[in-house]
Amino acid sequence: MLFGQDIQVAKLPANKPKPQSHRWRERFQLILMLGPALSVIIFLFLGGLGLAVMQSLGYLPFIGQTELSLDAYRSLLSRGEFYRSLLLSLWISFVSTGGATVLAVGAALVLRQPFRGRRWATFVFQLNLPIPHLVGAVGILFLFSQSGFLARLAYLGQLIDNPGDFPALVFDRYAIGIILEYVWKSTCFIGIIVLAVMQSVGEDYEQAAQTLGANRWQRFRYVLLPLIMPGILSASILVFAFTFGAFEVPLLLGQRYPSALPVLAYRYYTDVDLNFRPEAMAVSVVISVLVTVLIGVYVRLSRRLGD
Amino acid sequence: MTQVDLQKLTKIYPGSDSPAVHALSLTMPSGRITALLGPSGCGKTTALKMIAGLITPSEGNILFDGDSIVGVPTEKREVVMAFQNHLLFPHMSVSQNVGFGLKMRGLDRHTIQRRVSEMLDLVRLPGLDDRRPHQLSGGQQQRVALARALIVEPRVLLLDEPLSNLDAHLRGEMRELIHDVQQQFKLTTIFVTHDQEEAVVLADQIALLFEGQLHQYGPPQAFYERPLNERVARFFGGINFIPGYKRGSVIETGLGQLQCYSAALSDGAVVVTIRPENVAIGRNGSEINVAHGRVESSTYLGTHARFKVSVQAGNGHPPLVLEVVADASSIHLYPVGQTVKLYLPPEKIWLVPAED
Amino acid sequence: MQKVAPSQSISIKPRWGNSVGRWLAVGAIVVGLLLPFLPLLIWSFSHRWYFPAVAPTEWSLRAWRYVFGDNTQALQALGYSFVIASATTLLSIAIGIPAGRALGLHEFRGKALVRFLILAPTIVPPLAVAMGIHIVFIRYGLANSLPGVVLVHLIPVTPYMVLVMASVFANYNPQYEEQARTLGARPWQVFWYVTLPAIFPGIIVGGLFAFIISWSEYLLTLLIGGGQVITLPLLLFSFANSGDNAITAALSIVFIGPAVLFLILTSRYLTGRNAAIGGIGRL
Repeated sequence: MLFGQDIQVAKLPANKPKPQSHRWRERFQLILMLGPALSVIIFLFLGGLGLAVMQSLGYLPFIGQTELSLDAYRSLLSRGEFYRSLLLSLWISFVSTGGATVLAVGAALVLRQPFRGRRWATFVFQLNLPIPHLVGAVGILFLFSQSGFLARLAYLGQLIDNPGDFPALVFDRYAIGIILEYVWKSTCFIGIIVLAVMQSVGEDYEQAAQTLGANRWQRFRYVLLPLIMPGILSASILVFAFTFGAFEVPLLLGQRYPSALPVLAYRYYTDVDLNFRPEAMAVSVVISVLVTVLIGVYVRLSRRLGD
Repeated sequence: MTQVDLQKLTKIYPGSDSPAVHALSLTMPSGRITALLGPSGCGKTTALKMIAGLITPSEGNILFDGDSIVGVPTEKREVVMAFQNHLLFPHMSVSQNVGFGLKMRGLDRHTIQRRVSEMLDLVRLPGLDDRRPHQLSGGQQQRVALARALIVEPRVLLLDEPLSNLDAHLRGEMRELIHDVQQQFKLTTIFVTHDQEEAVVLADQIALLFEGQLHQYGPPQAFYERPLNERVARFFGGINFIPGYKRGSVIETGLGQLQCYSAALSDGAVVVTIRPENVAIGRNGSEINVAHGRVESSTYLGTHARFKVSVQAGNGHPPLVLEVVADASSIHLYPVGQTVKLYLPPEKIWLVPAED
Repeated sequence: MQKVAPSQSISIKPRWGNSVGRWLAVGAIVVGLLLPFLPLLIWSFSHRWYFPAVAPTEWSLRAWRYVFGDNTQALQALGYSFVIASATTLLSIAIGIPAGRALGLHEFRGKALVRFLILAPTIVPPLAVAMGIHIVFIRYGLANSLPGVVLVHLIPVTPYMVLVMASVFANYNPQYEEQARTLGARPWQVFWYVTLPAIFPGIIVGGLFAFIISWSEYLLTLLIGGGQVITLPLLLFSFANSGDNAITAALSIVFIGPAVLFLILTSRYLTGRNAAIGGIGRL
C-alpha cells in the first residue's frame, strides 16, 4: 500500500455524480474519520521529526541559540566514530534482514504443509511474536556469552578449557549477538506474514504448474515465490527499518566502541555537555534519511527484478 | 492416444469414515471425451485429481494404455489439468502462461515463442501475448488456460468444470472450441461437471457418480432413455414416477394397466417412468395406456407449456400427479380445471427398479 | 465390500526421506525458537551458578521473592507497563477504526498521500521523533508523566492499527449496514450489531499488535518518561546491565507473561483467513 502495490478495495456501488452539498458532507465526514490518526502523525510524528531537524541545525532556544547552521553535520562527518557506527549499523541491518528473510521463507514452507503436530509447531512460531526484543537479548546473552549456557556445554564436552576459549559472540566486533537476536525475532515476524500470504494464495497455482510439468523447485521459483514476493518485500522492509533504528538490543549486546548509530545518538543526547545536542539530533536525522533512501532503492530494485 | 483405466479406485480422506471415491472402475476410451458427472461432493473432482496425481489413491489402480501410473509423480504423468477458475498465473503475461509448460521442460526461447503463437492462433486469441490475465475477459482467460494445457501435448487432458464459469453465450463458443481441439488432436479428454447439460453437450461418455459411487456409465442418450435407477432419472430431469407391478409386458399401476416394451427388468415391483415431453395430452384415437385427469396448474414457457395433471387412481391408491410438456399453443386449449385425456406411448415408457 | 487384490492395489506412503527431512526442519524451528528461554528459566531459580556448572550448584527463590515480594519496585513497573499498554491500545483502537474505514472503504483525492503519511512511522525509526519532541513535552508538562508516555507510544502503534483496520474494511461490505438501517436499526445499533461483529477479528489482531508494541517499548519510555516512569523494560534493562542474572531472568519471564497470554487468547485470529494479518503482507 505504502509503495503503491496493488490493493483490492471494495468499490462502493455505482458512484453517480452527487449533489454538491452531499459531496461536502462526505468530505467533512472523511476529515472527521481520518482526523485523530492524522493528528498523531502530523503533530507528534512529523512535528517531532521537524523539531529534530531544527535542533540538528542548531536551533536551541532553551539555551539561547536560534541561529541556523550546518555545524553539527560538519563536525559529525569529520568524526571517524560516526563512520564506524554507520558501517556497523548497515552491517547489522543487512545481515539480520537477509538471514531472517531466508529462514522465514524456509520455515513458512515447512509449516504450510499438513503434518501431525503442525498446530503446535505453528503456535511455537507465533509464540515468539509478542516476546520483547529486550527479553530476546537477555536470552541470547545467557546463551551465547563466554560464560553462558553454550560455553558451559562446550566445557562439558571438553571442547574448551576456560571461558576465554569460547568464541566471543556477544559484545563482539561483528555484532554477532545483536544479529542473532534480530534474526531470532524477525524470522518469526516475517514468517508469520509470509505464511499468511501463502495460505491466502493457496496451492492451486502450484498444482496447475505441476500438471504442466513443473518440478518442486520450478514450482517454488516460478510460481510460489513471485506470488508471495509482495509479502516478503513488505515484511523484510519493516525488519530492515526496525533493525537500523532500534536501540536497546545493541545497547545491551553491543561493544561500547564502535556502537550502533542509535546508541551513538543517545550517548550524544545524554551527554552533560549540551553542545552535543545538535549532533545527537543530526545522527538521528541521518538515520531517518538513510532508512528512507535505502528502502526506496530496495523497492525500486526489487520491482525491476520482478518485471 | 491413450486409454485410461480406473480399477477399483478408492480414496478415503484421513479422518473421514466414508470414502470420497469408492471402488470406481471405468474404462475411458482413447481419443474420446468422458464426463465425470455428479452433484457437488460426489467425489468427481477427487477422481480427477487422482488421475492427475495431485491426490494419492487409498486403493486401486490407474492405467494408461495398460501401464500403471500410480507411482509416477504429477509432473511426469503428461496429464494436464485445466482448472475451473482457470488459474492463470497472475504475475505472468499471456504468452508466459502459455509457454510455461515448455519452459519447465527446458525448451529454448525461440521454440517456445513459435509454439506459443501457434497455440494462441489455435484458440483464436492471436496478438494478446503481452496482456496480463486480469486484462482478459472470462472467455479469453478460459481459452488461454486451454492453450497452456494443450501446448505440452499431453496424453490426457483433464478439465475441471470447463464451462460453468462462463456466460450462456460464451458456453456455446467454448464448447465448440473444446470439441474442435479435441477432434484435431484426438486427445483423450476427461472433465468433471455438476451440470448434466454441460455433460450431455460435450461428452461422448458420461459417468454419473453419487456419494463416490458410480451409478451409470454410457453415452448421453442412455441417461434420458434408459436410466438405470430412479435417482439417475431424476438427475436428468425425470419427474414422473409411478409405482407398479410388472407381469410380462403389462404393468399394474394406479393409472390402470400400462403396456410397455421395456424388458430390462424381471417381473415384480417396479417404478414406471416417462419423461414429461413424451406424454401426449388430449389426443384421441388410442385405446391402451390412456388416463383421464384434471389440469391442476399450467405454466407458459415461451417455446412450450408445462401442465400438472392429477389422475384419480383406482383401487384406493392416492391420486397421482403427472407432469406433461406440450406445444406452447396448447396452453389455451387446456385451462386449469379442465379434464384431459393423457396418452403414455408404450415405446416411451421405461422401468426402473422399485426402491425399498 | 470387495477387497482389491494385492497385485492391483498400490498404496503410496509418503516418501521416508521426505518426512525425516520435515521432522528435522520442524525440530530445528522449535528448538531454535525455544532455546533462549531455557537459561532464563534456570537462572531465575538459581542462587549460585558459576562457570562451568551446567546447572546451578545452589537453587533459591530469591529472584521471585524480589519480583512478587515486599519490594514494590517490580510490581509498580508491572503496573505502569500494563496501564500504559492498555491505554495506548484502547486509544489506538478508537483512532484506528474510523481511519481504517476511511482508507478501506472510500476513494478520495489525496488518499495515497494519507496512506503514505500514516505508514511512515513504520519505516522512520522513532529515535529522531522522540528526541525532537522532547522539548515540547517538557514545556507542556508531558515529559516524565504517564499521559506523555502514552501519547508518544501512539506514534509507533497507530500505523499498525490503521493498516490492520484498513484491510479489514477493504473486505467489508457496507451494504449490510444499509440493510440494517432499512430494517429499522439506529446508527449506534448498526455499529454495535452489524459493524462491530464484522470487524472484531481485525480489532483483536490490531489490538494485539498495539499492546505488544507498547508493552515492549523501551527507547520512547526512556526518553519521555525521563526516569520517572519506570516500566518493566526499563527495570529489566537496569538489572541486565548490573549483572544480577537471577533477577534479570525472573523479570524477563514476567515481562513475557501477559504478551504470551494475550497471544494464546488471540492466536486463532492470526491466520491467512483473517484479512487483518494479510494486510501487513500487503504493506
